[in-house]
Order: sequence, then C-alpha cells, then structure tokens
Amino acid sequence: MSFPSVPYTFANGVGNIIDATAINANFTALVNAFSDSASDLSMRDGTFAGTLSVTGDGAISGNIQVDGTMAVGTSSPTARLHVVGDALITGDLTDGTGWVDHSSDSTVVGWSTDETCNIYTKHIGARYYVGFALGGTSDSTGIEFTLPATSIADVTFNGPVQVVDGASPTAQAAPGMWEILPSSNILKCYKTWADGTWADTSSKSVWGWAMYEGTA
Amino acid sequence: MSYPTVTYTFLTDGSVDASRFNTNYQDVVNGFSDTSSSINNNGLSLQSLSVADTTMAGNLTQPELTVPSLSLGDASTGITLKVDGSMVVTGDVYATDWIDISATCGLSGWDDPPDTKTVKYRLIEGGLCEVAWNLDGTDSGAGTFFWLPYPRKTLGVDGSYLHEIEYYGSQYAEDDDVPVDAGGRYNFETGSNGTYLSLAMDWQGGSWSGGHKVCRGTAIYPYL
Repeated sequence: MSFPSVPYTFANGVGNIIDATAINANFTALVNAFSDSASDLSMRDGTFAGTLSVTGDGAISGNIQVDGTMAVGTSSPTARLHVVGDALITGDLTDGTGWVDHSSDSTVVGWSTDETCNIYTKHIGARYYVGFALGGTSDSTGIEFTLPATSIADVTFNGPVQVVDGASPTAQAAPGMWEILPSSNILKCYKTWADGTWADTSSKSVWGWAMYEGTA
Repeated sequence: MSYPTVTYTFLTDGSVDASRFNTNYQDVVNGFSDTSSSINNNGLSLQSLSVADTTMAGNLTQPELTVPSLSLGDASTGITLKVDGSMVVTGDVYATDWIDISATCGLSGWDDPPDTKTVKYRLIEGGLCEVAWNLDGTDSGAGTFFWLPYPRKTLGVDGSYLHEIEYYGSQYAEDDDVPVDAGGRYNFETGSNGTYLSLAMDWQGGSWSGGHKVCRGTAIYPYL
C-alpha cells in the first residue's frame, strides 16, 4: 500500500514564514492523490453515484452488495450476474430452498387410497431435478403426478423408470419410461418405452430420477 | 457517513500557526488511511481496492474480482453468493472439474486387471456429482460395481421400500459380448466404504452370463 503524502513539513513557531511554493506543492500532492492511480485508499464506507472502475485486482474482505448488475469478464452484462468464462462454485447452488418434499403438494393419479407417495424436487435456475418412489394398489391404467413447475415449450423430456407391475415385487427386466410433454406440469410413467399402459387392478410401483427444464 | 475534516479554519489575512497548518494537512492525509473516513465521489479509478463493505446502486464491472461473500439484488448475507435474478455463465459451472480415478477406485465384477477401466467424476452445480464409466473385461462372477468418491445424499427414508428415492438410470451393457437390447441399469447402493454404483445387465438385476461384459454410462446424483 502506498498512501498519499505531502512533500513538505513546516517548522513550528508563531511568525514562521512559509514558502507559498511549498504550500502549493503540498496541495498539489493531495489533489493528485485522487487522480494519479498510483496512490492507495483505505476507507470504511464508499458511495459512488457514478462508476467504480478497478483496473487492477479487487479484494474485498467483507461483503459486497450490488443492486444493479455484476459483470465478470464483460462490460455489457445481460443478466443480474453475467460471467464470461467458467464459474467455480465449491458450495451448493440452489434457489434458496434446496431439496423439497413435494409429496403432499403433488396430485398423484394411478393408485387407490393406499398409495405410498414420495416425491422430492430441487431446482437450480430453470433446471428441475425430481426423484420419486410411488406404489400401491392400482385404480388406473396410467400413472402421473404434478410437478412444481411447467416445462418449457417444444421439448419432451424422457427417461427410464424402474417398474414393478403386479403383486409380485419383481422388477421388469426392461425399464419403463417417464415423460414430461412440452409446456406441461405433469410427469407420466409408462410400463414400457412403447407407451405401455397399466392394469387398473393389483399393485404397481415405480422409482425414477428425472430432470427437466422448467419455465419458472 | 463520516468524511475527512480539518481541525482548524484560518482567518483571511491573519497569521497562521504552522503547527495548526500541519495538523490540517495531517487531517486530510489521515482521511485516506484511517479506515473510519468515507468518501463521496462521482467516479473513482484505483489501482487496487480494499474495503470492508461496499454498496453500489449501479453496476459493477470488473475483469477479476475476488470476494468471500457476494449479494446481488438482496442485502441479506449468510450465503456466499445470492443472485436475485438470472445468471448467465458463458463457460462451465462446476465445483471440481473432471478427475480421473480409474487407477484408484475400487472395482468388482471383472477379472483383474480388466481390459478397460475408466472412471471419472466431477462435482457440478447444486451439490451434484457427475460420474462417467467405461468398463470391460472378463466377468469374475462377483457383484458388479465400483466405489464412488462421494456418498449419495439420502432423499426419503434410507433403505425403506418405496420411501427412499432411488437414482436409477440406464447404461449400455454387453453380456457375454451380446448387447442388451433394453439397456442395463445402474443404481446407487450403500456399503462399508460408502456408496457404490451397482451395475446390472438389465432392470431386473439379472445375473451376468459370464464371459466378456461391458458397462458404459454416465450418471448424476446428489452427494453429501
């Protein structure tokens, strides 16, 4: 750190004559400290109505709040935080809630009242992760449950799902399929990837792990 | 806000005590370095900047900025980075870039050494671990799995039928050199060394036939 300093220190004593040139030099030193980009500044609070530009590195030991946008590696941000390049985040990245038990909030179709329903969701930005385990006595030829957000348009999301169909708790050798249609907040499960339907009697169970892009 | 001030005000055309003059200068100089004074300026350009707290109503543009805690659009703190709005990252987002653990991760199910053993992982956004594997060789008859670098996070009730979320997924599988039409299955299981990725030739957990077998796939799971 190099803080501003003045070149002259004047002698004490009433009646001493001070050279005006020296006074001017001291004042010039102070004025230059604001603009020479060589002096350092340590302060408690800073308020800038204009622009703060740091041409070197910025190291902040406390907290920083930006009510506008923050741009890293660009001077034309298009989002609240705009990073040109990679972002390294060693902690979590969530909407502030993390994993949520969505079981009681979801409307589930496919089982009679003895159903077991466990649905957990988490979203990171617009990307939603959904884990589910559902089973019980079937009362429908389909399986579906509502999601916390509607999917984006024009894209269908699919993936495999573990299927146990019938009274015997033996999984199918081939996976079933989960599907979220475009602009839908419903995840459907099929017995096969050929859109196989279910018997509306006996027991059935599915386990799945899905990802989709939501609109919220 | 507390801005720098000077101690003395001198009379016009009067004499000035040099010591008081020096005191005033020192007041101004101290304003730059005493960490208790504030500055109100329209614009400021600095070679380096060190502040305890900064609040900006406008934008912050900086090619390289390191902060221990950053709140955008919200004054609350307590988390490292809070963005009240959207975030654009033109590059990658990760906690740990790809790490090759082929040589160190425990593997079961193939004669040692297998013909191919490639296992990599990386930690991505949101507390998720992405793992990729490419394994082939001669079936040893033992359970087919490899140990993961991070244990899975339990959602629901651990070990309880239909009450625990299972991170099932599909993998490419060859059983005795025959590709499995419907694909194989992977699942995360807990064992003595943490979590392992169990690799099945079908979604029923059917037994491998022996001979040459192949498992290839990628998976993402929440880790502890």
